[in-house]
Amino acid sequence: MASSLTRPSYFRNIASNLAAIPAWLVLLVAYGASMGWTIWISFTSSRVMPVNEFVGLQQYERLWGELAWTTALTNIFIYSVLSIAGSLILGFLLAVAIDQRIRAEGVFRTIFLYPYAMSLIVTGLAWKWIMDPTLGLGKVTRDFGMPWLSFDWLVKPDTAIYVVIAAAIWQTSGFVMAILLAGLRGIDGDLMKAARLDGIPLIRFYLYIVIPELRALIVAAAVLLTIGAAKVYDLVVALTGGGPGLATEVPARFIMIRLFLRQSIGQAAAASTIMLLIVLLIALPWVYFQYVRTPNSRGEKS
Amino acid sequence: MTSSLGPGPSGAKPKRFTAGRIGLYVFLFSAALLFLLPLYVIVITSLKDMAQIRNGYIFELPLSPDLDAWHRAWSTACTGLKCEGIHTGFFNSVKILLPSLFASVFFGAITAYAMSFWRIRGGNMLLGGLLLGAFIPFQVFIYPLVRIFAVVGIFNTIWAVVIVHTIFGLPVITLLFRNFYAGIPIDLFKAARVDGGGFWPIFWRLILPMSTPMVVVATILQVTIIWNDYLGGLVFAGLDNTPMTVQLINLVNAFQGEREYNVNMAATILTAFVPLAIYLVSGRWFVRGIAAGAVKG
Amino acid sequence: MRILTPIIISALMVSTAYAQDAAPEAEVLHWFTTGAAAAALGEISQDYQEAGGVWIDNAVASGEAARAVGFNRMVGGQPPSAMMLNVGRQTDDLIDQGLLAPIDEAADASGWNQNAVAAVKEAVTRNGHIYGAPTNVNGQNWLFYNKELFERVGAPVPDTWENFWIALDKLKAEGITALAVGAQPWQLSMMFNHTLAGLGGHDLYLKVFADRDVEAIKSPEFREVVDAMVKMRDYQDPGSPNREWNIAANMLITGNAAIQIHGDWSQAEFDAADWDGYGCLIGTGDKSFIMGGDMFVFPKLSDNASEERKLGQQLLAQVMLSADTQVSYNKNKSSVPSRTDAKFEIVDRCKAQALSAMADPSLTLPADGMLLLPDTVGALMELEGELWAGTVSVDDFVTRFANAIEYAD
Repeated sequence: MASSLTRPSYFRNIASNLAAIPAWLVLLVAYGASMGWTIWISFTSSRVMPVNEFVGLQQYERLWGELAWTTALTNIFIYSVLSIAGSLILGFLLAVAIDQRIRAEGVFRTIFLYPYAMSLIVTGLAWKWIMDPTLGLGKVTRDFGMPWLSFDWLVKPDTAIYVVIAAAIWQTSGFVMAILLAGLRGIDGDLMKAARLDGIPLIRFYLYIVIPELRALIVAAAVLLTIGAAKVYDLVVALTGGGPGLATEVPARFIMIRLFLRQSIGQAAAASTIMLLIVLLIALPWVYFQYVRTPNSRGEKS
Repeated sequence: MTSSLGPGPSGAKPKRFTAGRIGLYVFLFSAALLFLLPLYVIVITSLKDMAQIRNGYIFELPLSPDLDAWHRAWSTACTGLKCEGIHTGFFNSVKILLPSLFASVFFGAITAYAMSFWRIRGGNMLLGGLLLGAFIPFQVFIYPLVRIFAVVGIFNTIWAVVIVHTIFGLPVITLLFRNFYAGIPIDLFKAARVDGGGFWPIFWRLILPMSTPMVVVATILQVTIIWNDYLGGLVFAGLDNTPMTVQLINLVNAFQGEREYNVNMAATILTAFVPLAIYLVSGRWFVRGIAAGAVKG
Repeated sequence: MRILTPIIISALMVSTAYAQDAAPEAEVLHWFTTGAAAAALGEISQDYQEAGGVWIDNAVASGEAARAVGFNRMVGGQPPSAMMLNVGRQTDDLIDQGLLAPIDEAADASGWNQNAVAAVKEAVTRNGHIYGAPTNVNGQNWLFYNKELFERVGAPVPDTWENFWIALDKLKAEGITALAVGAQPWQLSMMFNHTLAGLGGHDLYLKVFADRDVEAIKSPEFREVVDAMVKMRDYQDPGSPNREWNIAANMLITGNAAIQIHGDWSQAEFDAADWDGYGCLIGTGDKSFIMGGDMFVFPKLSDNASEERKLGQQLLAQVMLSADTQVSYNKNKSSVPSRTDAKFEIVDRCKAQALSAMADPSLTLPADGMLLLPDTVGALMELEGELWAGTVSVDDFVTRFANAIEYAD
């Protein structure tokens, strides 16, 4: 009986493979063909429209000489690391706090979750006002006699990116909170009681017992956050337009501008290809070990 | 041994007014205020008149609140040479949302189902490939997809934008469903097979009913993404299907004339209304869905 | 005014066999979503409808997004009838790719061909064909100032650079924000070009942009221009980063700032707000007038496009180029028509300056977009943005500027 079930007959497998065709189409056509075309274009002299004039590595040579590109890469790295770490930490703290049998839990949960529901194009304007030194918090502190607290971080090149990161954390920590809250609720109640009875201090309890229990969820949340961070565009455009100067330039915006405004799709394609390479370099080993190589989802070796 | 998978908090039963308790509420309240700040600014600005907006603080309450800006945003504000407000966009967004939502959740679910229970060929490669694609910025795909859609003949129609949303939702939704299905005991599936069930019958009768928490989570996530999408609707949907976000940006990014901030903010809330409402109503289900195994590493 | 209508209609009826049932229609892609600019475009729309056409409006919020839509529609084989762009080399590649339809007939029929402003006509002609319908000629290096603030501090009119700095200092001394700046790259680039033309002079401007003379860029005169730009940073207010141009213009109206160096569409803002307390100058120092323009291009429609669309496209070009339409458009936009025979009543002193400058070729300069491809223009804008943000040194600026010009296509 066991063997006939663990080895489904060839006959039976057709339906499942057919059902997976849409996904294969998406992967091969939408993602694969698009990236293939993009890589090809990066070797051509295309400007506003694709042309097939091969120019070797010219676009790449130019790309690496562009301060905007190297800055965009640096920025996306800083942005990703800090915003993901910040969201995870704040999300965890909020989840723990809400988990403490507080009153009006539903209200708090909604308050922390709503930023995730709103488009950043939309909330970006509100943040831009709040952080405008002549309109928002800076104006309030100035008029109320505290000019040293100028809240002008958004308009200074050195600090602008941190405001963008803060806005990103604002947007996504509620989402992390929701995930981790569910995880906390799923932790064995007896485990908690036992640890409490043993008199383990709170911080050690959370750090060394709870977090390892939540490891899978934290990883999942981190994956979802990373996917969002690599592609960040709306937030930057809404808050700073990439500025001041190049202070908040990011790859998605770099590519977008060269696609349509600067009529230079060869450059955009080169930048896109580099993004793909970076993703492959960083994400591929991890994706491979996590999802492809190791026990498949059913716990059986593939 | 089993824990309370229900919504009950698992912290210790609280004593009344310890310092820790107070500190907890202080933390929560401060965080809540900070989180609410932008929404507060948006709402009160939408209720003010332009004179007060020009001359007052952005944080002060409206002197004589009225819904005039809301009415204008909905029906008479100019989004180009047309001055009909953003209500047409609302219906277009719904028109785009429903099929996109259904398609992305459905295809994600059956792909994950095929991967998890039926060991389709290259299943892991499929998931891995999709996940890698998920990290690439959307802008990269615009030109190639336009070309592909044009060849197929659906460019500039609503199907183009529906497919776009399905394409970009597939990686994450498939991943989430796959992880969810990993938590379903294999014996159930095997029993169904023994009973003679095939791919589709088992899906409809066994797996799908069990997937409700995950469907809820996926729906909530996708509603947010699809409703708030700007670029996809702009490039792929066609002039007749302009979603609300595009109209909102047309309205808000007024490059000429004084910006009517109150109308802009009202339009912003109207646009955000659908996802906000969904989060308000179903936040609890979101958490429950995740607790039921919807999100796993 | 509508004498043109019967002419157009009869021309159409003569040129096509079955024009009776097909009402010409045109889908027009643009980014004039509100305010004075939308009102101006509305004039064209109205004239078009009176000429029998159906105007299908496709407004998109920003120039960047509008280009995204337009170019993708072209790639997808379903282009709009008309797409807004700026006069200059933004169309080079499109024309080379054979994606734009020439509008020679419409230009002839409307009389535009015979009366166009020379520089503009040259800018839209390639290989002997006309590919764009310029709706105006706009000035890009105006200096607007709030007269009341100037009087209050006793500042001299900034028609020379000496007076400019004196005025700035006096304003600053009184705690007034001297310069209303929208620190976005495209706006800063206009300020830079204003300074290059005004302080560097007519010839230096042309050496840099037209001759691509790297030595000119490395010259001390150019450096002086860069230094002036850097010095101007001290006279803005802290909220300038990423500020929209109309917000900056508004600062003059409300008396929150004294000077805006920008294009003539700022004047449209002042007029729309019923404020006439502004003074206007073309160029400080050298009085050269930097000219650009808005225009529409007409993508080649696919072969299976409807008769309505094909007719509509040519009709639209004709309407846009007709004298009366140019006048009504420009009244709202505060620019001038792109044809010299348009009966444009000069109502204000600013327009008078523009028209007299345009009459003298030694006083006009083409905007950078007329001489350089969008890629180069964009690179320079980015650089000027960095200069304003203080993240690039003057030396590096000069080097990178020279580099961009040297390798420009």
